[in-house]
Amino acid sequence: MDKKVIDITDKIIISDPQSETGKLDFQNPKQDINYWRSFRELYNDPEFLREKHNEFTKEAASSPGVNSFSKFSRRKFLALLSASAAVAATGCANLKEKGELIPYNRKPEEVTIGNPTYYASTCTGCASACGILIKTIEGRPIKVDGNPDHPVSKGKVCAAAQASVMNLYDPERLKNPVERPNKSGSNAITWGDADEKIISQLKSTASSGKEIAVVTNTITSPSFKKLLGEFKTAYPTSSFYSFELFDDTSKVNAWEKCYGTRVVPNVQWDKAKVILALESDFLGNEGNKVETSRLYAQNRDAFNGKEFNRLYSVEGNASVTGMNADYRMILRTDRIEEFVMCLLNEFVSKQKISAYSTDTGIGSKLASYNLEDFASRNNISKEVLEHLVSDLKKSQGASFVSAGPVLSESTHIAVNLLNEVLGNTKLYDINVLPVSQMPLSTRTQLENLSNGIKSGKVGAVIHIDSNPVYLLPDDYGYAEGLKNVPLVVTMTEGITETSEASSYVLPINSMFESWGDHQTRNNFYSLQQPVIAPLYDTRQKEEIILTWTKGNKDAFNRDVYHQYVMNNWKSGQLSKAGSDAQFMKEWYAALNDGVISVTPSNTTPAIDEAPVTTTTAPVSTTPVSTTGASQASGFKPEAFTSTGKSASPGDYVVILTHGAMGDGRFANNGWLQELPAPVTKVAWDNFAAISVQTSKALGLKQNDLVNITTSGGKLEIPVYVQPGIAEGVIAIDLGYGRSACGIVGKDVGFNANKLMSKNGGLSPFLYADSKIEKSAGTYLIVTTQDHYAFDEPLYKDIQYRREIIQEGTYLQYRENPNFLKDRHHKEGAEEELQVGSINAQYTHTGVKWGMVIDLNKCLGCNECVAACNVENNIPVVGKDQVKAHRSMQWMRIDRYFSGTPEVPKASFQPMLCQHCDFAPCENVCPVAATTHSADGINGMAYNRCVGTRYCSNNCPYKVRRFNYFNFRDRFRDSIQQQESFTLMQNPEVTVRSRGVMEKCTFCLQRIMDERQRAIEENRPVKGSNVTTACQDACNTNAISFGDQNDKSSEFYKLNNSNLAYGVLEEIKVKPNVTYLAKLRNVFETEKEEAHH
Amino acid sequence: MKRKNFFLYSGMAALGAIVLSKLPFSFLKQDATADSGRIRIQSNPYAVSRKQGAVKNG
Repeated sequence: MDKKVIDITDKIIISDPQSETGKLDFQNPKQDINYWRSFRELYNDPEFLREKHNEFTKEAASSPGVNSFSKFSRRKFLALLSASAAVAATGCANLKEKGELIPYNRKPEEVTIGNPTYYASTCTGCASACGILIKTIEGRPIKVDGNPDHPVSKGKVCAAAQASVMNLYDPERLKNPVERPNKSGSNAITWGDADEKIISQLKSTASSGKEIAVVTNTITSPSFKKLLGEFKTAYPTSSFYSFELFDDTSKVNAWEKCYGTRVVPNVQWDKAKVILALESDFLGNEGNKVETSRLYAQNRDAFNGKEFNRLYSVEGNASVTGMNADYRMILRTDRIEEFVMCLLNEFVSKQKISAYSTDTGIGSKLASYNLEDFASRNNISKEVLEHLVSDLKKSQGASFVSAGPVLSESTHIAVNLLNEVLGNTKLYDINVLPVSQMPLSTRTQLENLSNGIKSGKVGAVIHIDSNPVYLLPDDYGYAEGLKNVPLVVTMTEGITETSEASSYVLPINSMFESWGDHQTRNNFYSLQQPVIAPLYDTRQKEEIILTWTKGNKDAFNRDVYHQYVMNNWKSGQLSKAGSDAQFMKEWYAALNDGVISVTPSNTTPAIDEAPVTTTTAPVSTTPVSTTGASQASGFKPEAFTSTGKSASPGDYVVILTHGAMGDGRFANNGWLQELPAPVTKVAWDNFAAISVQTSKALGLKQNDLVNITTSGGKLEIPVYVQPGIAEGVIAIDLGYGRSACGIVGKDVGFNANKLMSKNGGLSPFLYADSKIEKSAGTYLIVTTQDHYAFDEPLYKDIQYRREIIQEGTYLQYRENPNFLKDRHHKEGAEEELQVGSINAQYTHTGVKWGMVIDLNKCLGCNECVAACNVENNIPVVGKDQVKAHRSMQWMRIDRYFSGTPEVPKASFQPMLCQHCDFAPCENVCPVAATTHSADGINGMAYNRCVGTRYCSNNCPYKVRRFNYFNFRDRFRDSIQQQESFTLMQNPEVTVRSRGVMEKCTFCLQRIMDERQRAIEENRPVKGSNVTTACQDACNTNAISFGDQNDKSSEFYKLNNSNLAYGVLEEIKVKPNVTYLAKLRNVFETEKEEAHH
Repeated sequence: MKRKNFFLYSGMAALGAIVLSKLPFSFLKQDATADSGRIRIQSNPYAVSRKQGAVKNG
């Protein structure tokens, strides 16, 4: 454990615009709590103390004000009401046309009114192509969860997939094809005319010998790949470019040099006892985090009998992975390569581990590196490094070193060698391999495309749901070049920077309206089916290509691609079915499951075409001897040319990271924009995150605008002083600053793609030798990290430490599983706090609902919050209202820091209504709008609530949310009131309006559903039959829900386990949400250092 | 009422009714009932639904 102590009385220049004083009291850091959430809390900002003491902030407590209400007078309202009634009575008297209001004259067989229908499908939000289960109510998709039958996602999906129903119902989706003569203006055109004109131009382009460039995202569909092959036959000058912003270029290039293939195998994270993450956010936004975090958390369960893994993180940024690490070492990102070289020298040259110790070539390259010197120079704890070396040595073949995509190619090569040396290649899955339908284009290929566009060699460009104008660095000259291309077609759901530079913009179906088949691994296929007919006059992108391939606009019909996919399967993988009838039976069974499993060795192609790029295992699989015996390995030592000397200590290093918006494609999704980032808790913006030391050195305050210059370009952006970032590192999320987008995402944040260059820095996402200088002015960044802070002064006479977060070490727990309860006993807290209650305890004889949240598995990722938003019709409120502490999310993830601002440790804690037995909110409601049910739920009667907010004032957990406005009406020109958005609402959950208090209901609608089923089946209600939305969404299964009185259930065991505790137990409100204390897997010598 | 006035008023009322019936009130009717701008929800007849937690077909 790092014992570095920073003098926090040193004057750090930070101020906060929300602070009245503007300056924080650095002379008096808070003494009475060892957890803090922000600088304002750490340094006892007087205004923050006032905020904590007073329930509501100034903005939140203020009356909305008459000026904020409608200007519409009562008299005008009545006049218009009468007039409109008269007009309606006169003009709308024809009742014949209203027959459509009667639903289901011919009811679909599978639909029962009021009962949801589920469809298995595939999410196409990113290249992971996770299996999903779509819940529909009377034809409307309203919720997305993971498909439990899918071998990768196993019933879980990410926050973006959870929120994807908002993309389907986005009122700003394009609704018809548009022709843009001279690439400006916007003329509506029919599909027939668009097809005819485009086919004609494609034919003339092909016959003139000019290139037709087709630019796509990652292609995961074998049928679509086959179709593109047929397109090329029809238009022989076609060439295809598959492009992703986050393409893992460095990692893939390094892998190719080391192993001769561009297919990087999957890692069996569940088999890793020790993990070293090097600027790697594998628990955050890297790779398939749904799968990775699930596998990782399997070794973070105190009750499944498995030993805890140990996670070390070395990083310059403050990532989710770093914040969950047992040991976190802060290091400038550009020095990580040198760090890896030092580790290699330690293992290969000094400890003579692996056969490489006898390789003089490698030995000579490592000779100049010394781990101890490196630690001294970079202020890294030598004690922690000793632990790391010892752990990696001890766990050879059962540890893994993960390098993040931000790092350079040479760093990845060095890390590949390190994993070879340690025998960690055993963790690569050699049976189930990734499959790439079409390799992503290299930077050189993209440059050739840009050059072809500029030179006139390219006669037509077709963008299939891709946005290179926004994503490609400016020095490609792509946007400028498009002006020279006679035909530019963009297929997209909404407007993009690329559609604004196109001559035709064709609206395409969302993933909920499309057919498809997908393969990302060699052991299964995932099917995609439309669960709703297209809402607008849109077409599936594959249907468009198919029509053009046939060269005839009349070739299109609504079933054309469905038939195409089905025929591919009929002649391919399912050809053994024999008869048509048998095929249809198998096809429907496959659609029901959403997944078709195949054995990896099965050579029958899915479709009548050779499968693409399934590789044999490229890495050594034999155990590695510590004595240096030779190993059978595919690793090419000549690839190892790393020098590790790229650091330039005088300059700043910029790292560009993968944030909540992905590459920007989710920018118009308000739910995602409003999710506070897991570590910074910032919503609705990106920013340049800098360290406390850097802010001090440059005299920068929170929200100051700075100019950042890299080899790629210059960007003006506000700074955010973030605890835990390395000195000299500037971290910026990509995916913001969209200039052509819907009303929600347009101009939100700053476009950091401007800092990228086609040749990259140390990698496409890592730029050393960068400059930062203060610019004029400030820009307000909104963070929720101070929101809903617990009211410390009120209770500190009762107990000095609130024990909101309770922690221990894994070794403590192993030696004494009751250590937590023993500690309380020793401290005498129980005895002192026998204060009782004025109310008699109600005995819940039947079901009593409760929730358990395992803090060992909670990564703070936000997926539960996203799922709760969708399930419970939570409105988007906008940045200004988030600033005023008025965000409506029923769940929040509290992120507490402990330690110092320079070297913080983090703890995450999901916080929601605790459904207290003695709920303080219930006692103060003057109209009994919030009451308790016999099964232990603290309920809300919305139509009884008169909005006094007494309940919120009296809630010790700060989990009640008040509708200060009708946020649906107030946000972004009432976009949430538009018809399409209203179709998104879950009909089981009341849509709340202005003046009403709301909060978590434990997904009461799901409990009612179980109650109904129990009645129908004549059985008692069973706790394990109910899952809450947050529980379903949690990738790591950190959340459990059930009946506290069901002693046979797994939930009961967790709820009564020796790690269980309640937040603020001492105030005797008897919460029904139980937390399992976090165990840090620290080294043996530090087992007593646990704190709470 | 005099007979003359009765016929006068009746005639004017009939004329008014004819004129009113010829006025283009239909545009109001179209706005209120036209479905071209409305979103129609239609499930896909070829999609295969499943029950939550149903057994996998293999």
